[in-house]
Amino acid sequence: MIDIKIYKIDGFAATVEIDESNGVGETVTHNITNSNMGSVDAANLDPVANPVIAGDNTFEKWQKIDVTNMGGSSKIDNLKVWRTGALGGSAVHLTNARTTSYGGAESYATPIDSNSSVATQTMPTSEPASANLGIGGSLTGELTAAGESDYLVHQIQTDAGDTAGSTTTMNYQYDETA
Amino acid sequence: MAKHICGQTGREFDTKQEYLEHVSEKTGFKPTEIEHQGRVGVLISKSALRRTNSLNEELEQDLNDKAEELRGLKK
Repeated sequence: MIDIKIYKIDGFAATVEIDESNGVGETVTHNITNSNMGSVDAANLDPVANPVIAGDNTFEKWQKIDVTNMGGSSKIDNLKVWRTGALGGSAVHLTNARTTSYGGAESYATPIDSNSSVATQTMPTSEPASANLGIGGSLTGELTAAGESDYLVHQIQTDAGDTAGSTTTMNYQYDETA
Repeated sequence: MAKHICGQTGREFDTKQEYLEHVSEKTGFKPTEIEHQGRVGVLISKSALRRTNSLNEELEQDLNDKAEELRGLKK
């Protein structure tokens, strides 16, 4: 017996990846495999080889949610990002993502490890009640064709008394309408 | 102009369009094909559709079948 499954010709769900931009002039690494943060400006970095010294900052991360294909879906919206898990010591994780007073779409700037002027609000540690990352500069923005979110910018700022070795998880979420 | 790199293989592209149109040496699919994201990608889409009440019985079955098809395939 041959089992044949026929899918809708235009696919049935969106294809989404997370991209990260680095360096002067912007190199975009598509479909990153992790969001490790450390002492170099690089995607998919090795945190053991590039650790942050207690008291220093990580380099900023500049990332986007990238819808490469809508498939059979009509809309992507309601973007939410948050971190789960505790940081070591009194380190803080800051971001431009926020549910109110959103600053709009940021223009790319070479990531820095001095205090970020873009990532200035504490990263949520649970799912936000509403969108905190925009599309087209607005938290109510939506994608109806392949396209990208605004930049998510985030940075960890550590304290001299912090302990090494914490591992946490970044969560990136979107809603999809068929 | 930004340079584009595939995060899975490190392969470089001059444009995003070139990246989107290439067939990954790792997955065997283009970045525009849901199979490129593997089983987990299909399940993420399924959750995203459920949040908008878009997941009817037929669509859920399609996604379940696709996830099952991708089970065990290395991303």
